[in-house]
Amino acid sequence: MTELKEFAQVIDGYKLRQIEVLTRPLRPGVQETRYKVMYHALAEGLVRNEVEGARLLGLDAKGRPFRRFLMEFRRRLFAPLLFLDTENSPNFNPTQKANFECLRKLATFQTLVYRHCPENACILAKAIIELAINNDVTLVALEMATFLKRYYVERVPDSAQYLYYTEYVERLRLDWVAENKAMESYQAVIAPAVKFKSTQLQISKRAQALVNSLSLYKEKCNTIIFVSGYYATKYIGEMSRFHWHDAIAVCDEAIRILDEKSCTSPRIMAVFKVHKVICLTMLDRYVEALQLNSEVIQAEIEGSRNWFLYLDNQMLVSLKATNYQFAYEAAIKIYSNKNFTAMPESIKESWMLLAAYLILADRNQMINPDIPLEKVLNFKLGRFLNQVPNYSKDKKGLNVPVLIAQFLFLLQAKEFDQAHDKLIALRKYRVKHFNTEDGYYRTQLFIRMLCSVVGTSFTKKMFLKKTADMIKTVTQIPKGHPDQHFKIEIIPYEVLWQWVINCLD
Amino acid sequence: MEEFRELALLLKNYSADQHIEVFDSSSIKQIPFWPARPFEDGHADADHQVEPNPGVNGQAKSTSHDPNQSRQRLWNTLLFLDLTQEDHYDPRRVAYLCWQRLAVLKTLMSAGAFKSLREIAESILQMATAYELTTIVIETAAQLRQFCALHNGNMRGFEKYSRIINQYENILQAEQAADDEYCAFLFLQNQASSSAQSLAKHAKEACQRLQPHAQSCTTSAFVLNFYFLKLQAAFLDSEWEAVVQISNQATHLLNRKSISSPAKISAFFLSKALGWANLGQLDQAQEALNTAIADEVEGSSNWYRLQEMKLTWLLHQGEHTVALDLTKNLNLKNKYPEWPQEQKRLYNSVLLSLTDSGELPISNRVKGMLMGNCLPFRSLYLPEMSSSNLDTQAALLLLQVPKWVQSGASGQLANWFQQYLELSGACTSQSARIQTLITSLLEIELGKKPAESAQEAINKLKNLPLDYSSPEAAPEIIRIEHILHALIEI
Repeated sequence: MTELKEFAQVIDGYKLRQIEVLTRPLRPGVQETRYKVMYHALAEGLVRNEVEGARLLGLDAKGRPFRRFLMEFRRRLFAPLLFLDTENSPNFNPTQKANFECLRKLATFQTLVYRHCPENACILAKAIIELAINNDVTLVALEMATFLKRYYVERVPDSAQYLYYTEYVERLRLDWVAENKAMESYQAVIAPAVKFKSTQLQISKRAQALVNSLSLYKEKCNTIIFVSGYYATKYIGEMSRFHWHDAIAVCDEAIRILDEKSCTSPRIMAVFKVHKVICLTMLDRYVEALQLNSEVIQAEIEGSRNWFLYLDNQMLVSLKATNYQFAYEAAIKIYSNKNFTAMPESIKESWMLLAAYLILADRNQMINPDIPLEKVLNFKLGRFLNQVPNYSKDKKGLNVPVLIAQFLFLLQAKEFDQAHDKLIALRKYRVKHFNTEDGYYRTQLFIRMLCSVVGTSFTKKMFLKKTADMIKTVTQIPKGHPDQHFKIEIIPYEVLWQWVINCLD
Repeated sequence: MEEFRELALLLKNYSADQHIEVFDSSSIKQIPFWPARPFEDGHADADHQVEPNPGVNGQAKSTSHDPNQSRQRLWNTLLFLDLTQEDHYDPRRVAYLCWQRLAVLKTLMSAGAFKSLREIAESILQMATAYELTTIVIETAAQLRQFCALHNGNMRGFEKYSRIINQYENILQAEQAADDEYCAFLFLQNQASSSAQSLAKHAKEACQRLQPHAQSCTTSAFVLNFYFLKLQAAFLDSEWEAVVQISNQATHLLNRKSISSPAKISAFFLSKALGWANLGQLDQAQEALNTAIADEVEGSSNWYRLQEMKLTWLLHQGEHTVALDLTKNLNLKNKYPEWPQEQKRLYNSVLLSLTDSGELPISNRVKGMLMGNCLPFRSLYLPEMSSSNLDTQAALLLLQVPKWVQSGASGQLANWFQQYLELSGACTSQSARIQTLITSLLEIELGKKPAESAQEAINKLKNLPLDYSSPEAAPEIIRIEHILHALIEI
C-alpha cells in the first residue's frame, strides 16, 4: 500500500470535485455542466458552428465569456482523448494500439513523477518499458529508462539495476536522435514536393546528401521510425532521379527489414508499397501496380488521410493504365466519403486535377457512370479553368497537366477562340519554361503537337499530317522515360492525341 | 467549431467512456488509507461537480480493494485533476500538464485528427519553451515540423521548426551530460569503497567535462546538476567559502528565472546555510536556512527535515525558548502529512530534558504537551546495537550522560558509544568529538573527577568544531560541550 499512500497527498476532496468525464452519457434530471452539454451536442451534430454553440449556452459567439468557455472546453477534452478505445477497434493494428497505450501511460507516468509519487512512477515505468521497447516507442522507453536509472542511484541505490538502465538510456538516446534525423531527412525531401513537382533535381541531390549523413546511424539503429525515415529518403532520391528499378529495390529492402520486426505496423509498410506501385506504373507494370495498391488500401482505415492518398494513387495509376472504370470507382469512394471535406486543400487540388482527366475520359465515352460524373465529383469547369492556386505556380510541374486539360476541355466544347488563346499561351509557356536540356521529352513533344493545331485551323486532316512524325516518336519513348515527374503525364499522351483528333472535324 | 467537432467525434467513434475509471467522492472514502478529510457534501456548482463512476450496467461501481485495480483507477483519476486551473504557476504542474498534452498531441497525430493539432501544439511549444522542458520542446516541434512538411508542404514552417529542434538538441545534450555526471557521482558515492578524496576528484573532473556546456546552457536542469557537482567537490574538500560562493552563484542563476522551482532553489540555500555553519557563522547560516525553509513546500518531508535542522541549530546557539516555540508549532501541525513520529518525539524529548535540568522554564501545560510526544529517555537503558534507529538512540543517550555518570556506569555508556561509532559510519570530525566524550567517560570510570575530566574534554573540543556537512547523521542535537558543562556542575 506504500505506493497507494503517495496519492493521499495528490488527490484530495477538493480536487475530486473537479473531476468530470465529458464522454459520460447525460443523466436525465441532473443539471449537467456546460462542457458536458456542449460535448454531447457536438458529438450528435447538433452544433455545427460557433453561433450555434454560443446559442446553446445562451452566450454571444463573439463575446469573451464564450471565448473563455472554448478555451476551458478544449482543456477538458484532453484527458478523455488519452482514453480512446483503440483496443476494441478493428481500425488499429497491434503496433498502433501499443503506441496509444504507451502514450497514455507516458502522460500518467510524468504526472506521477512531477506529483512526487516516485514509487508509483517506478511501478508504472517497469510495467510499460518493455511494451515500449518491444514496439519501438522510443520516447516513452527513453523517459522510463531515464527515470529508472536515476531511481536506482538516487532513491533506492542498486548498482546492478542502475548499470542495466544506464545501458538502456544510452541506446535509447541514440535511437531517439537517429529517428529524429531520419524523419527530418524524409520531411526535408518530401515537403518541397507536396505542392510542387518541378523540384526533382534539387530533391535528388538533397536526398543523396541526407542518406549519406544518415548512414552513420544505420548500423546502430533499427527502430521502425528510423528504418522508415532512412529508406523513405532513399527511395525519394531514387525516384527523383527517375531510377524506377532502384527505387523498387529500396522499397523492397525496407519492406523486408520492417517485415522481420515483430512490431512492424502494416501501415508503415504501406508507405513503401505505395511508392513501389508508382515505380511499377512507370515501368508499365500496371496489373502488379494496381494489385499492390488495392492491398494497401484494404489495410487502411476508411476515411483516414492515408486511405484518401492511396485512393488518389489508385486513380492516378488507373488513368495511366487507361483503366478508366477503376479510376472512376476510386473517385466515387473519395468524393462520397464523409471525411472528404476535412482534407487539406493541397490534396483536394490534386483530386480536382485527376477528376478533370476522368471527366475528359467520360466525355470521350470511356466510362459508363451511373450518375453524371461532374455531379458526383462536384466538378465545375469554370472553376477548374480559372482556379488552380498551387499548381499554377508549379511551372515545370503540375501546371503542365492543368494547362493541357484546360485546352482539351475548350477543344471539346468547340470553343476554338479560347482554345486558340490557350495554345498561344501554351507555346509561350513551352518556350519560356522548357528547353531541350531540361528533359520532359514526351511532354515537350506533346505540347508541340498541340501547338501545331493552330496552324491547321482545327482540321483533323491537317493535324494528323502535321503530328504524324511526332506521335511516332512519342510512342517510341517509354512512359517511364527518366526525365519527368510521374504525376505530369496523367493519361498517356498517345491517348490524349487521339482525343484531340476526336474533337477535330 | 470544426476542430472541436473533430475531437468530439473522435471520442464518440472510439467510445472512450468505457475505459475511463476515475474515483468519485463516495468510492474514495472506502480506501482504508485515505486521510480523514471532509469532502463530503458534493454541493459543488454545476460546472465543478463529481459524477458517479458508472459500471457496466450504469450503476455506480463500488471501489475494489484489489491494489492493482485501485492503483489503475488512481492513475486514471490523476489525469482528470487540475482541469479547471490556469496553465501557469508551479513549474512541476506545468511540466506534467505539458507531458499530458504532448501525449494527446501524438495521439491526435496518430489518429489523423489534424484540425486542432496545430493550435494545441503551438500552446505546448510556447509553454515548454518558457519552462525549459527541453524534451517536450523537441518532440512538439517535431510534430509541428511533420505537420508542415507532410500536411501542407509549408517549407517555411518546416524550416522554422527544424531550427528550433537543432537549437534544443544542443541544450538537451548538455542537460543529458550533466544528468549522466550527476548519476555517475551518486553511483560512486553509493560504493562502499569510495573515499571522500576519490569522490571529490570525480566531482571536479565532472565539472571540468561539463564546463564547455556551461557557457551556452543555462537551463534549470543543467544548472542544478552542474552546481550540485561543484558543491560536492567543495563540500568534500571542506572548502566552506567555496560552498557559500557556489551556492550564491546557483541561487543567483536560478532566481533569475521565474520558472525555477522554489524547492530546487531551497536546496542551494541549504548548502549555503551549511557552508556558513561550518565557517562558524551560525547567524548567517540561520538566515540562509530560513530562506530554504520558506522555499520548500510546507509539510513536505524536506520541509520537516529543514525545520529539524533549524531546531538543532537554535539549540546549539542556546536559543532554547525559540526552539521550544518552533517545536510547539511543529507539534500542532495537523496538516497531512504530520511531523514524522520518531523525529517529533526525539526533539520533544530533548526539550523536556532541558526542562528537567532547569535550563528551560515552561508551564505545566507545555510540559504536558512535550511529555505527550516524547520518547522514554529518562530510564537508564542501553539499546541494542541492532536497533534500526541508532542515531536517535545516540542522541537520547547523550542527554542522559550526567545521569549515567552519577549512577557510576559511565564505562558502560562509553562502550555503547564506542560500538555506535563503529557501526554508524559517522564522519571523522564527528567521530573525534564523540571519541573525546568516550575518553572522558572512561577516565571517570577509572576514578578521575568528572568535573576535571569534563573540563579537559571541553578544552580538546575547542579544536574539534562541529561538522555541519552531514547534519542528518549527527546525534549532537545538544552540543557535547553543553553536556560536559552539566557534568562540571554535578
